Amino acid sequence: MASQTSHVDGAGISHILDQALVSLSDQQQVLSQQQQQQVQLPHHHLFVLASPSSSAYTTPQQLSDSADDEDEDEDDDDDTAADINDDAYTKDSLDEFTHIPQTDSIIARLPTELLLQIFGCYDEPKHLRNVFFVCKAWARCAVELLWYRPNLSSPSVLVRFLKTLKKRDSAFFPYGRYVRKLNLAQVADNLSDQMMITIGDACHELERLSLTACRRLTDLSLVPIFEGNPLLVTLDLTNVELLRDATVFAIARSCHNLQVLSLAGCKDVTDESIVALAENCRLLRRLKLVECNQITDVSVRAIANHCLQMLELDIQSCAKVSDESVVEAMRRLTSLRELKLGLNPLISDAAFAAIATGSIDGLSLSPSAPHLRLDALRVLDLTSCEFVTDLAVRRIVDVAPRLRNLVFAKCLNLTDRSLGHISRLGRSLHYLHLGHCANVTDNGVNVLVQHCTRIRYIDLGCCALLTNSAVADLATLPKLRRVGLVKCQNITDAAIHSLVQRRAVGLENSLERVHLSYCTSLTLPAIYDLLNSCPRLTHLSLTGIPAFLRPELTQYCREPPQEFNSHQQSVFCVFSGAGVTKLRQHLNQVVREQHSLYIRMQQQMQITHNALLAHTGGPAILDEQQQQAFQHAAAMNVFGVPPFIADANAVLAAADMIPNLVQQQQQLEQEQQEEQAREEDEAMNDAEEEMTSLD
Amino acid sequence: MVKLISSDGETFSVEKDVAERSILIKNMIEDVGDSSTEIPIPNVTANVLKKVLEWCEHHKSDPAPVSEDDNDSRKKSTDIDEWDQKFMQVDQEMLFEIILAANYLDIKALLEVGCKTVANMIKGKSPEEIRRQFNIQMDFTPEEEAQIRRENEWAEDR
Repeated sequence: MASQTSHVDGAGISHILDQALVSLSDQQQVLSQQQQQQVQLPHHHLFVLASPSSSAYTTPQQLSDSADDEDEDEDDDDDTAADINDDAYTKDSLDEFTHIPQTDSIIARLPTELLLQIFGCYDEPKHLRNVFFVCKAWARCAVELLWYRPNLSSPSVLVRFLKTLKKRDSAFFPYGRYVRKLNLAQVADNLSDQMMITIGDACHELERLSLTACRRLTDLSLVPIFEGNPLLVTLDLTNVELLRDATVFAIARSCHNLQVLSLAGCKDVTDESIVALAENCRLLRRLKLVECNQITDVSVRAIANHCLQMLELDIQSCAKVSDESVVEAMRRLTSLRELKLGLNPLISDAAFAAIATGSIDGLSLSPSAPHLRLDALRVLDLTSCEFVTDLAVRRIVDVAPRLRNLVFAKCLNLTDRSLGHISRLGRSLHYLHLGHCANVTDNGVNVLVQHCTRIRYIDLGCCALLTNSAVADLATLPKLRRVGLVKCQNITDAAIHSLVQRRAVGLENSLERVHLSYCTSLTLPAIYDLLNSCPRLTHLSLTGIPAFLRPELTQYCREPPQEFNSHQQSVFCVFSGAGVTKLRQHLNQVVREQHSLYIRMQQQMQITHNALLAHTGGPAILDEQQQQAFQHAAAMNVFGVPPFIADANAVLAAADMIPNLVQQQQQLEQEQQEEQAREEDEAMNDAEEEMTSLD
Repeated sequence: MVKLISSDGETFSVEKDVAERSILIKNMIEDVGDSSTEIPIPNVTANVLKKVLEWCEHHKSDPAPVSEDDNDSRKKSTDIDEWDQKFMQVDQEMLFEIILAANYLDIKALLEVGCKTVANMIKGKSPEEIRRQFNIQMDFTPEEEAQIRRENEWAEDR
C-alpha cells in the first residue's frame, strides 16, 4: 500500500459520509436494533435474488457468515454463532476470510457478492490493491477479483505470478482456485512446458484459456492442463505448433463442456484425435481447424454427425477436405451460422449442387430428404475455391436466402451471372468480397446495387473491367462503409467525385475504409475532396499511385510491413487512424497557404495590369514568363477551386517580377521618348540651324 | 397504480412503471396478474423504500440495458451521473440500506450506482483510512500482511 494520502476522487461524498458517521456512532443503539431486523436478509439474496453473474462468486457459507455477523450483535461471543452454522454447513477453509469481525461496521452487513460488485467497479488493479489490507474479508474479495482474470502482460509479471502459484498450500489464499480466465498470449514466447505444468498443478477451475502462439508448449504440459480442467468452455490453441494428437485426445477425454475451440495452425493434428473430439465434446459451437491440413473428410464427417450445436465451422486451408463431407456438414449442422471453406482446392460446384438436389454426381445420398434450407447460415467463405462457378452461387442463394457475408475472393470463374444470383439476397447482404473475380463488369455491379441496398462492405479489388460507372453505382449504397477498388485501373478522379457527391444526393457519408491502391490515374485534388467529405474515414490506401508518392504526403502514412521488398516498400502508401487525420490537416493547410498565395497573385496581377493599361492605353505586351503567370491565374479563376500547383512559388515569383518588368519597360519607354524628344529637339535645332544658315 | 407495503407497515401507492423498475416487483405483479393487489416488501423499511421509489420515479423511462457487453463496460467504471450523485449523498447507513434494498428488489441500475458510490468513497484511500471510515477492525498480523503483499506483487503497477 503505497499511499497514505487521500485522493480527491469522491472526496466530497466521503466527507459528508465521514461526518454522518460521527453522528451515527451516537445512534449506535438504534442502529443495531435495525440490524437485528435484517438478520435474514443475506439468505434472501442468495436464494431469491443472486444474479447469474455474481452468484458464481457466492457460496452458502460466505453468505451465512455475513448473517453470522448480524447474529453476533446480540451476543459478543464470535465463536458461538459461527459454531452453530458449522453444523448446518460443511465449513470451507475460506470461511475465516469472509468474516468481518467488527460487528458495528455497517459495511459488514453487505454480503460477499455485493462487496465483490463494489470492488469490481475498479478497472485498474491499483485501486483494488488499496482494499487488500483493510481486513481479511476484503482481502479475500480483492484477491478473488484480481486472480479471476489475471493480466499477465510481461515475462516478469508471469514469473512472479508463477512464484505465488507454486506455493500451493503454503500460500495465504488458494489462488489457483480463483483463476477462471487465463490469457497467456502476451507471454507466448516465454511460456515453457515447465511453467505450464505449474499452472496446471494449481488451476483446476479454468473456464477460458488462451494459449495463442505459445509455440514452445508440447503435449508434456498440455495433456495435464486439460485433464485437470474439465470446466473449460473456451479454448484457444491457435498456432500452438508443437501440439499433437495426444493433447486433442486429452481435451476429448476431459473437457466435455467445451463450446469454443481453435486448433488453427496445429498442423500435426490428425483425423484420429478430431474424431474423438467430435464424439466427446458434443457441445462444441465454434470450431476452427484452419491449416490442420492433415485432416480429411473423416474429421468433417465426425463433426457433422456429433456436434449438432455447431454455429461456426472454419476449415479453411484443410486441403484434403472434399465436397463429400462438406455436403454432410451442411445437411446435418442445421444451426450453422458461419461456414468457412476457403483455400480448399477440392471444393467445387458439386458440394452445392448436392445440397440442393441431395446427390453428388447423380449418386443419391438420401433420396427422400427434402430440399435443404440453410436458413441460419449468415457467413460463407469460399476464398480461392477455384472450381466454384456461377452454378454453385445459384445453389447457395437458393438454399441460404439469409446470407449476410459472402466471400468469393479469387473464385476466378465467377461472372456477372453470379452477381445476378447474389442480388436475390436483397437486403440481407451486408458484406461481399469479389476480389480478383476479373470477369465482373459494370453491369453486374449495377444489378447488385439495385437489389442489395444494405451492403456495408464490398471488395472488388482487381476486377479490372470495372469503370467509373460501377463506382457511381456503389456510391448510391446508403450504408456503405468500406469499399475496395485496388487495381481497378480504369477508375479516375470522376469515380472519386461520385463518392464525394454522396452527401449532395442526401446520403450521409458513412465511408470509413477506402482502398484505392494502384488506381494509377488518381490525383491529389480528388483525394483532397474525398478526405474532406468523409469525416469518418479511418483507412485510405493509395499504394503505387504516382501522384501520392511524395515525401510531404508519405510522411503521414503507415510504416510498410517488414516482409515487403524494397520496391514494395518504396511504393507503399497507406493512411490509417491518426494518419488519415494528419493527411487531411496537411492538405487543408497547403490549400489555405496556396489560397492566400493566389489572392496575393491576383492582387499583384491587377495592379500590374492597371499600370500597363494606364501606361500603354492598351493590352499589355508580355514576355513568355509573364504570359505563363497570367495563364495560371486565369485557370484558377475559371475553376474556382483551391489550386494544387507544384510551382506556385515560381508563379508567384514571376508575378513579383512583373512590376519590375513594367518599371523597366516604363523606364525604357521613357528613355525612348526622351531620346525621341531629344532627336526631335535636335532635328528642330538642326532645322533651325539650317534655317538660320539659309538666312 | 400499485400498492407496496413496507416492512414496518407503511403503504406506498406508485405508478406501475415506476414500481416495475424492480424486477422482483415486476415478477410479483406478473405472477399475481392483478396490479391492484397490495404487495408486501418484507425486507425494506418505509424510509428506505421511499428513497428507492424516488430513484425509480426519476429513472422510470430509462432504456433497458442493450446487451451484456455494454453492461460489463458500464460496470467497469466509477462514473456516476449528476442526479444519481446527489441522490446518493446520504448517510452511510442509508447508503448501505439502499444497496441492500436494490439487491433484494433486483434493481440493477440502482445497485450499480450504490456500488460505484461506495467504490468512489474507498478509491485512493489507505487501508487505515478505509478502516476508520467504515469502522472496520484490522485482523491481519504484520506477517500475514507481508505474505499477502508478496503473493500479489505480480499485479502491481509498473
